[in-house]
Amino acid sequence: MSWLDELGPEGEALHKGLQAAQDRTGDELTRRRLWAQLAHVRPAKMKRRRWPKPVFGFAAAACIGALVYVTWPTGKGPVQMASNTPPAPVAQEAASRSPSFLQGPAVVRTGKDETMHVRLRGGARLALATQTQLVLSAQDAPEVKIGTVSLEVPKQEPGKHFHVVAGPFKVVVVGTRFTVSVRPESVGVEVQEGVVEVEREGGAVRLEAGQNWTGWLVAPPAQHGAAAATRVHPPVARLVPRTRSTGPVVVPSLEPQTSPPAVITTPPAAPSLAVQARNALKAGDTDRALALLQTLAAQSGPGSENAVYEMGRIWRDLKRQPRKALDVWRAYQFSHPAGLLRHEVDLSVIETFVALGDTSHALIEAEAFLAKYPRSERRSEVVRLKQLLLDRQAPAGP
Amino acid sequence: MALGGVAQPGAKLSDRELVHQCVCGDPNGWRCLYDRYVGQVIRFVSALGVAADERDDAVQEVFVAVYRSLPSFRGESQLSTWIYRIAARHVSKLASRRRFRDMLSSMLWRELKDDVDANQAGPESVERSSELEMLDRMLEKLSPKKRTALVLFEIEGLPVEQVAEIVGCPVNTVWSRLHHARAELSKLARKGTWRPVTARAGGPT
Repeated sequence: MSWLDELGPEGEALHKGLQAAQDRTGDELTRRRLWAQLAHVRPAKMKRRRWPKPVFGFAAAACIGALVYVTWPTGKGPVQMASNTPPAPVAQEAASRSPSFLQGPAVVRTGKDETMHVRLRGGARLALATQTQLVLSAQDAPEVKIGTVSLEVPKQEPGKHFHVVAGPFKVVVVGTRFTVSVRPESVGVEVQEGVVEVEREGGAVRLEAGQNWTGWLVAPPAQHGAAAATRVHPPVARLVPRTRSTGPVVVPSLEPQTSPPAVITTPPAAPSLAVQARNALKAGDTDRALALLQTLAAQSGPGSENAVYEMGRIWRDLKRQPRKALDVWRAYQFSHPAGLLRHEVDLSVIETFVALGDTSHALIEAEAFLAKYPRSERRSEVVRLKQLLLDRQAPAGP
Repeated sequence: MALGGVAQPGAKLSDRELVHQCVCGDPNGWRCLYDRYVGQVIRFVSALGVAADERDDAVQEVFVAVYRSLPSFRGESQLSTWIYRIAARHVSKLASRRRFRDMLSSMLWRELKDDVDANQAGPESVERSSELEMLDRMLEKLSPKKRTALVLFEIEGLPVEQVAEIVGCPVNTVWSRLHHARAELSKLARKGTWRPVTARAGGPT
């Protein structure tokens, strides 16, 4: 670089500094730790686009215009509308099997023994089961007020996503076939094809084909006891994998599950605990951080593994109790023979034994590490360490 | 990068295919995207002056933002450009938060600031620093705009056109920022702020 050459020795050192900065891409441990924390991240709400203020004025005027257009009496169709809402601009044939085109804003309701098939702009097909009410916004975003709707959504263009509102939840779709059911006590989603995300403030659940999910609006009696059943709780996200079902309209069982469901993730809890633990650490409250990490470690998934690893680090580096750290990491090694952070934990165990001056244990661990990770990036380092340990052990020998 | 020495599926995919995989919900795509860009993001946020204790959080936040915004990635620019832009925005937010925090601490607890200043300005600590630490300290003296341009061009090795796209200004402006940033660095080096370890070997301690 010519501008550095002009600087002489300072330029040379600056050049070295720039080169060192180019190599600062993080070691494998950092990357793996970051990945362990990121693995549970799922896309939540899309960021809202910020429009300039005058746009709001035009938008408001357009909304008023649209409202006047929609509420203008144009005749009564066979669709049963919400009690105080005039007929929708596009009348729909109830109980029709061939999907008719529906454009928002509109409210559609099916009666007893009635089903309806509709098609939206963009090609999404909706099958309304009996006694279902669906509200379609001006932007054609459907909201299931009550009942069951099966949807078949074509592949969306990059940057676009289709979503269905169901109570406090938002079901975000890229392109798939799924069913949304809304009951006074719960919201259910069952995926037949593709992947959907069920979002709510603070978390999201990802569902793949063959899985269903129930978000309880009131606590299920089997889970919280009879007394709690009447109390309104924040919805509890529970993921219950089921076998793939067939048929266009599938109403998932909304009975409270009596057996404990296979919990894949409880999104709002895991990140918040990790963040709280990090904040506690930043504030120097290691005891609180440990308590939070302990709770997180009791859960499952990468977040829990990372919590165990961090607990060990706190015991060793912050609380200066390497034996405790070893206990924690030993437990991890036992419970996670092929864990995500197993490589790092094994290395940390070796380092801790070395720091404690426990040469024989350090040697055993180093040998086990070399046997287990023949392609590790840290292998040469461990080989050197092993040699040092052997040298250290030599004078103590016979 | 292959974590744990295991080749990741999808390592040969183009950025566009990778984005498509991620948007379709394929976890392998997400992992591959992370592996491909994590090094760059760590290097970039480090060079922009994010403190070591905040670096992990910053990198994590960048990737969370990337993942959440992936469906809105239109493919009009390179994926790396887009990720750099997100990272630069996050670092800028972090810096403003840090400034606010420093201001509060200086108002509420003046001693803390004095301690920090003493640590930063001490000539002895400067002399003991390595080239990289010294570079970081010199970069701190640059304005955020000049620093970003210099880091993207000199450290990340991007062409000026891409730097202009990332920082959102004309190419000539980038050249101008680069020119001024280099001039300021040279001035700092000549002033004697720069005391590299190698040049100091035989000198007084």
